[in-house]
Amino acid sequence: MQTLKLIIRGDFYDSQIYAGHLYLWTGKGSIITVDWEKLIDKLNIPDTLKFAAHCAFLESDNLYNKAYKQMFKDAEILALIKKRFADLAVNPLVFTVEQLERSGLIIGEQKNPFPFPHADTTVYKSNIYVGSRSGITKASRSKNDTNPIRSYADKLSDLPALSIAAAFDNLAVSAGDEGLYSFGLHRPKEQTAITEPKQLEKAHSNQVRWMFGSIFSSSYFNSGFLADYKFERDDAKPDKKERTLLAIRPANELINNQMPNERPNQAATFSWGVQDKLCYSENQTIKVVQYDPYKEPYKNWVSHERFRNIGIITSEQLGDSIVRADSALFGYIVEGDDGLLVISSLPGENGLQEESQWLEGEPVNWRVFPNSDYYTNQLHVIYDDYLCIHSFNQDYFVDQVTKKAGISHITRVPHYSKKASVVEASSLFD
Amino acid sequence: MVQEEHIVQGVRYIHKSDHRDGTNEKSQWIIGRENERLCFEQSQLFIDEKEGKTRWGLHFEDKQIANLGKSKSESPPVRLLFIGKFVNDKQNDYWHGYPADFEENNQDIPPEEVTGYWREQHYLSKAKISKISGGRKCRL
Repeated sequence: MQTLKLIIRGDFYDSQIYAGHLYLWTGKGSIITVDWEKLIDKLNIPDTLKFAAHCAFLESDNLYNKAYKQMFKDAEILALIKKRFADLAVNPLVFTVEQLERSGLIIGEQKNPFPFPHADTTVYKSNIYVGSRSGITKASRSKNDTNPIRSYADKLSDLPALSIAAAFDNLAVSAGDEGLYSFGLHRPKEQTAITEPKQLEKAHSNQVRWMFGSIFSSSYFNSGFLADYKFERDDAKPDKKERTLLAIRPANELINNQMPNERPNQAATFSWGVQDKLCYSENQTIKVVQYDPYKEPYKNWVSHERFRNIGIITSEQLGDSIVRADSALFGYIVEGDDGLLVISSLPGENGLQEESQWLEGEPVNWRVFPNSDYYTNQLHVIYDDYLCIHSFNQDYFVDQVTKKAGISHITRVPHYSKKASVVEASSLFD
Repeated sequence: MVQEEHIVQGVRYIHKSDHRDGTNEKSQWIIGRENERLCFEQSQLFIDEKEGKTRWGLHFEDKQIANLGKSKSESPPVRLLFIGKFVNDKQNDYWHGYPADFEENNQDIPPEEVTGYWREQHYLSKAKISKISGGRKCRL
């Protein structure tokens, strides 16, 4: 598994990428906004590699396009595309903040308006949300060139926020020992008061992610659980986004039901869920269950088709101590005490075991962007004195229906209100 | 409960016995009482409307941050802890402290002002500060 690397040297704490802008939280209390699109366009590389660079760093969705799928059936074209990515990977692209500044690629550096050091950040509908011990704050992106982010952040809630994730006009919040919360971001004009966060479950929550319109909570102190929602579709009102909470489903019960011969311990080493994949890690394995919220729930929920066992991934590099984990199209990322394990969606040479890669060194922060339109293949890892942006470009060539590692591309954007997409997502298990 | 009292920097400081006697539901100091008081002496004060006065301290051995306690035994596995939290009992006008378990308890995550200071002083790396701020697993 060959990855492309773009490195920016500097003292960073966190990063986000959104709509052509790269945001860098610095250790000295500022936020630098980089013109990412311009940076990639201006890369000093041969013209033959420009297309690969564009797909790798600017438009990850490009090569999932149906037209390309047809082209990849031509072995010569496929080999050429793979060669371009391989050629681009030979030399990492390395910059310093000063170089970017001199090249006019820094849109602005401004005082960080958020609490700092924070716990987590996310960008949703042009707003930047920051979660920390002291609560949740928001600032919008601005068209002002001096301050690309509004210089004052609004406090939305005092709720401690260890992990945040936004979708469906809601912010899901892991509030540690206060449990899992959901927080409405859409405020009707006539309503002036800020919506109060709603507790979905009181059990401990360390990390939160969306599985379509449902929410998965990870914890060190329980096996993890899914707040399983049902979509209320109304074809007459395609924009209607009604979700109804069906149940809180503990991950160990779910895994136990799907894999009766592989009874899990009471608590996993760590479990997590993103879009269609629920992962349960213990004893150097990851048990993977696929989730399809479009299937109707039955009364006996554990046996219905919303959940399906799709297998077990084994890796000797999976340690007993998992700090956190996440899923992307290109695979799973698992943080140990002193490095990251990336398990690729690409099956290994024997066709059975997924390839994996160990990224040595304790990261300051890392994140993937599975819900973005253009950056789904990126893994940002911040170390003490640089940011490394890894670009994974193997997943375009992987069967999205049968893959065990990584979320499926066809289910990535939950356009549940559009009939055609519902059909596509529902056909996952056919 | 036996409480040993000292005067530290002009204030009353009490060593609470339940953080030393193996009580299941309490985190336990693994450093001596003298080092506990030293940790308090060198701690950072934080004043908050909701939480009142708290102090947050680290324990050093050979100029390196070292573990000072272990998590409560009622929620295994027991983990080593390296932050001391000190609270003020306004009613009786004394301070006491305990090893803070930021993985399990929100109130044991130090305020941003304190973690920011530790970062500036290079007491802890950015990676450790990030983990502490997010209530994530963090080993020295």
